[in-house]
Amino acid sequence: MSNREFVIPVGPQHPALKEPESFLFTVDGEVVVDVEPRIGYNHRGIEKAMESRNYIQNLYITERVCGICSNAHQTAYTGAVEEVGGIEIPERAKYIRVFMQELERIHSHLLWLGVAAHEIGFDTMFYYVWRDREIVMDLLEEVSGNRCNYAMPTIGGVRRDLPKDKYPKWHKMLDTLAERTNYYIKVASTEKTILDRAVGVGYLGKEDMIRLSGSGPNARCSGVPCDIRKLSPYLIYDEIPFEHIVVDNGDVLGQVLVRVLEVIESVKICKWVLDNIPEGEITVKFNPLQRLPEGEAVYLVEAQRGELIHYTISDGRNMPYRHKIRAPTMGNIPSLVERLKGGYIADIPIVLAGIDPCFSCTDRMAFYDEGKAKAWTWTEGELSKYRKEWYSK
Amino acid sequence: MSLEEHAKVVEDLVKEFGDENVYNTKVPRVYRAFAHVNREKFREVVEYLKEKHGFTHITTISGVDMGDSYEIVYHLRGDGFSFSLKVPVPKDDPKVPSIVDILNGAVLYEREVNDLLGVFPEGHPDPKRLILAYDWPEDVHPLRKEWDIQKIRERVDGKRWGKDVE
Repeated sequence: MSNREFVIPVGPQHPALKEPESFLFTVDGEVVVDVEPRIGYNHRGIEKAMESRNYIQNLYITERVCGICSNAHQTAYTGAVEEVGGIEIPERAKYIRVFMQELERIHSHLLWLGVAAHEIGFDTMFYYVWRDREIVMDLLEEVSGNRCNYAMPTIGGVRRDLPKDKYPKWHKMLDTLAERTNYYIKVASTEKTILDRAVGVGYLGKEDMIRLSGSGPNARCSGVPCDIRKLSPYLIYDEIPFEHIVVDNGDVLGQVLVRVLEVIESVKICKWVLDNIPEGEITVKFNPLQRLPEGEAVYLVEAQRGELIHYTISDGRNMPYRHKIRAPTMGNIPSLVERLKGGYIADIPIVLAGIDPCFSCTDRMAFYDEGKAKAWTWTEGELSKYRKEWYSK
Repeated sequence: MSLEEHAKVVEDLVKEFGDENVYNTKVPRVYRAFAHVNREKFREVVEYLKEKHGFTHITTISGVDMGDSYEIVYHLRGDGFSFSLKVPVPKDDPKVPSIVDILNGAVLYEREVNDLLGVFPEGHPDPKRLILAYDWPEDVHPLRKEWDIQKIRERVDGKRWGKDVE
């Protein structure tokens, strides 16, 4: 390090990332020379905890690995466990899992788009996008009862069915989303406020991206076709017609484009699922005390932020011997570090946010009664009273 | 790609390195394969897979405590084909050769395994602590089976969890 260079710590409490991460920036004037990441501020020992709980209890842990990707984690976890146990899930359950996964992708990508607009100081777009995101949040709430942590997949199927009479309404909501997203595609590719802050910022080429094993929109914006849904299809993704979105911009604009174009594809997939979903059971029985045969399984899922892997080893008990999870953000850090090098200090927030930050969003509790069609909220005291009455019945 | 093509890749690997170096292979379904690889030959195997069969992507590295030995599982991926290479490591010599110079993406995963399982990546450019706190005891590796939550608590905080804590 020459005497012209300074070291600036960014984080662990960083506004752009939910996962607290620390980055040590070495800067020469305005230019970033080197970056050193340090993670683990949010290390909760989940993999160790999973070794001492049974497969059903672990459902709840995997869901809480991340607030935004909760459904992706559960899809991967249940998939891996079912593969070890040789459990065949009903067709309808596969469709519902895909439906949830794509709704989650829409909500996550729109959330990211809003955050990215905020990071480059374009707050008008931030408010617009987050207003429109409420459509998909309402849809998720109608399907599962929750805005995040949907608790939909379970071992052997899914926990809730999609009521048929809602399909026309959901089609309409999805149409509105597609219409609004098309507008954002137009804005993102023509609006000078965005282009000035996004073109050429945080550039990384295709060779470097392959070398650093990036995944998800972060890699697809650099021209690497790496969508697991296409490469190694799981559930029913090999039957669904959708585009493999890859652009070769390699910069922040590419990341914006990949994500908005993927929202359009996800809307298409959701509509296809609603049109083609077969009738039938949604779950097969799985007993929490049931022992799985010895074996292992690798399950890859294309989560919103990239490739997600769950690797489970069973030694014949009713709990995993070892369960390994690698979330996409970890895989994208080496390429993020390359993206930051050579850039300006002012571009750090948007490039950091570029691989997709994550916000914990639920701080309210609402109840929705389908019969009465009204929503209300409860305080902690009322909730505790309800609990006591419920359990004393 | 089909199951036969995937099985062929695995067969080719066994033929190239011999069944004393690549063994216990299985191809449970399309897009998935597992194999045990000797530690001495491991770097050559990774290089061969990268050059000959296009396994340029590393998904992650899992460290597993198998009771009498450790097993480091490298999940490589070429297109959609996920190939898991397991490297057995004896408990009295917990080291693996680093593959960061072959697959740059492994740089953080090797540090993670070193933290949580205590298997040192020899030849890693910067094998610093990544996940555990800086003041975490050097000899406590949480994913080793001899450490359960009570023992970790006693060792790290000097007290037990549960009923006897006020």
